Amino acid sequence: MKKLIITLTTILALSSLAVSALFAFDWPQNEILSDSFYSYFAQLRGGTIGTSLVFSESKEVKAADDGHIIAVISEHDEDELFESTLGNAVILAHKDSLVTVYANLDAENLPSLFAMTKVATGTSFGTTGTSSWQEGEGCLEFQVLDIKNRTYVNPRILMPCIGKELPLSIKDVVAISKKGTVYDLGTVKTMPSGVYQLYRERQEIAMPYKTTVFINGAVAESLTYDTLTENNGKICVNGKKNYDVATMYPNEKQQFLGEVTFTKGKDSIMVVTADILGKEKQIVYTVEVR
Amino acid sequence: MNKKLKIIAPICIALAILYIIIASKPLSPEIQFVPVWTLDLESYTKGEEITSTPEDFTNAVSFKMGQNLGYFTPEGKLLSYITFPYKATVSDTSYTLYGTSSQEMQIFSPAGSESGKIKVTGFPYFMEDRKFIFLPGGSSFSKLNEDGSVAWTYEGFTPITAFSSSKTGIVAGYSDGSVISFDNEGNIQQNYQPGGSTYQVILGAAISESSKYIATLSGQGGQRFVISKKTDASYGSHTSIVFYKSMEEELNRQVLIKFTKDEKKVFYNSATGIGIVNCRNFKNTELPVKGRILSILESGSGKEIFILSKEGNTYTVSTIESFDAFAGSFSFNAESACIAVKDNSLFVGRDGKISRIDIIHR
Repeated sequence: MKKLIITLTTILALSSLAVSALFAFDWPQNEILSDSFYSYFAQLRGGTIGTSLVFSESKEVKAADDGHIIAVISEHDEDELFESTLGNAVILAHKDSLVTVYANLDAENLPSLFAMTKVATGTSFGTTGTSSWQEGEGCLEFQVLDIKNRTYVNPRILMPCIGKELPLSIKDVVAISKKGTVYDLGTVKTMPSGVYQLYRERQEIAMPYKTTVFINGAVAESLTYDTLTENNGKICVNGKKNYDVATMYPNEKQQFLGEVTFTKGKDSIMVVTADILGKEKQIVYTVEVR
Repeated sequence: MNKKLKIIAPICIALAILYIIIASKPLSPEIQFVPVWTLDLESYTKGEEITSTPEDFTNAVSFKMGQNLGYFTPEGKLLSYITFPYKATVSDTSYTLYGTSSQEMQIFSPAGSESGKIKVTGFPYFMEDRKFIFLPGGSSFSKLNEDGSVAWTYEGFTPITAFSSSKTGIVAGYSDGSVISFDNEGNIQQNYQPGGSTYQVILGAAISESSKYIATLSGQGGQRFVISKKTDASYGSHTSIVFYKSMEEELNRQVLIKFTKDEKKVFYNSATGIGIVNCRNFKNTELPVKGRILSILESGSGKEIFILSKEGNTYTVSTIESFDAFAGSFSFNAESACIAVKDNSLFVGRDGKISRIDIIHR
C-alpha cells in the first residue's frame, strides 16, 4: 500500500512538472479564468490589430518569468517627451529573445521600478492604474514579443489555460467580391465565380485561436492567431498573405476569414473556428457558382 | 651686491608694468538675469475675465502646468487659461485635450477656435507645428496633417520607447534597440541599431534639424550615448556612428535629448546630469544637474540653453552658455512648474504664477 502511494505521488509530481515545463511563463496576475480578459490578442482594438492581452480586473501585477528590466516607460505630464499609449509600463527581457511588457501600471510604483534591474518570477510591479490608452474595464495590458523573429506572440500560448473558454460563434458570413458586391452565404443560392474575401460577424470580446475555410474539402485559408508580424510598416496576421488591419477588420462588425476562389459548379464552403483548447465550431454553406 | 640690486630691481619693475599693460584685456560680458514681470494665474481661476485681440495671438507663448494650459504674450498678458481633466498636448500653434480612449479630439488654435479634428483614437503629441498620434498597443504612430487627418501611419512590432522630430524628419526608438527615421512623407530614411550593449533598447532619441544627425541613449549592460550621421552617396545613403560615449551609470527610464537648431551641439540627460557633445569636434562635456531633466530649451540667439529639472518637489532652472559652462541656476519648491523661451526671454511657471526673465550680457 505504501509503495502504491509513493508510486502514485511520484507519477503525479512528474506529470505536474511536465505540464509546467511546457509553459514558458507564469500569469502576470492571479485568478485567471476565461472571463478574466477584456481584450484578446489580435482582436480589433482602437482601430488596430490588438497586440496585447488586456485583463479586465485590477490585481497585483507580477513578473511572468525571471528577467532584466530594460525600460520603464512612464507618463510625461511635466516634460517634453511623448505619451506612450502603454502609460506606465515595464519592459522585461528574458532568455531566448523573449520580451514581456506590463502596461497601464499605477504611477505610485515607478520610483521602485526605476531602481530595479534583474527581477525574479513573481516580482511585484504594483497594481494597474489609468495611465494607458484603455477602453471600458481594461486593466493590465500584457504583451509578449519574440525579438529574434520580430513577432508579437499570443501570450496565451505560453501560459497554462485555466477554466472554460468563451463560446465562439459563426454568424453572418459574407463573401465580398473584388468589385465590392456582398453575398450573404446564409441566404445566397448562386453567385459568380471569382476571388472573394470572406468575413464573419466579429464578436466583441471572444476571439478564435484559429479559423479555417474549406472549399470542397480543401483548405482555402487558415488563420492562426498565435503571432503577429510587421510587414512594410503594418502589423499583420499571417495566412496565405499578410493581412493588415484594413483587411482583417474593415469595420467594427466584421472579421476576416480568408481570401478564397470560387470556381464554376456546386461549391461547398465550410467555415471552422477553434478556440485555444482546440474546441471547434463549424458551419457549411452550399452555393451554385456560375 | 647692492649695485646689482639697484640695476636689476628697476628692470624687473619696468618689465612687470609693461606686462600688465600688454597682457590686460577687457572683461568678457557677463550674463545677467533681469526679472521683467510676474503673471498671477490664480485671479483667472477665480473668474476674472480674459480679454484679448487677434493681434495678441501672433506671438503667443504656450504653457502647460499641472492640469492647466494656456497662452500668454511676451509682454505679460494672459490670453487663455484652460483646465483639463486627464491629458493634453500643447504647442505655440495649437492644443488638444484627450481622455483614455477619446474617439475624436478637437484641435484648437491658441485663440480657442477649432482648427481641426483628430478622428483616430490614441494619444496625440504636438511638437512645434508638427502633430502626431500614438496608437493603442504602444508600437505604432501616425503623422497628422494640420487639420488632424492622418497623413501616414507606421506600425512597428515592438513598443516605441523614444520619439522626436525636427523640421525635416522624425525618429522613433524601439524596445528592441532599433532606430528608424522618417522624412515628413513617411519614407524610411535610416533603420539601424546602435548596438554595443547586452540588452538592446532605445531610451532617448533626437534628430537634428536637417535630419543629418540622430542621437540616442541606448542599451542596458553597456549603456551608450551614440550619435549617428547619414551620408548620401551616389550608391545610396548609409548611416555611420560618428560618436559614442559609454555611460558609467545606467538608467532604465526615458530621457530627453535635444539638438540645437544649428546642429552644432546635442544635449542629453545622463544619470549624473547633462551631457553636451559638440557635433563639429565631438568633444563631450558633462555638467551636474540635480534631478530628472524635464525641458531643454534654446534662447533665440542660441547663446544660452535653459534646463528645467526636478528632484522630488524641487525644481531647478539651469543656464548653460555657449562655451558649455554653467552661467547660473536657481531652485524652488512647487507642485508643478514649466519653462518657455521666446527670443531672449525666459518664462518660468511655478504653481499659479508665470514670470518673465530677460537675459542680457553686460
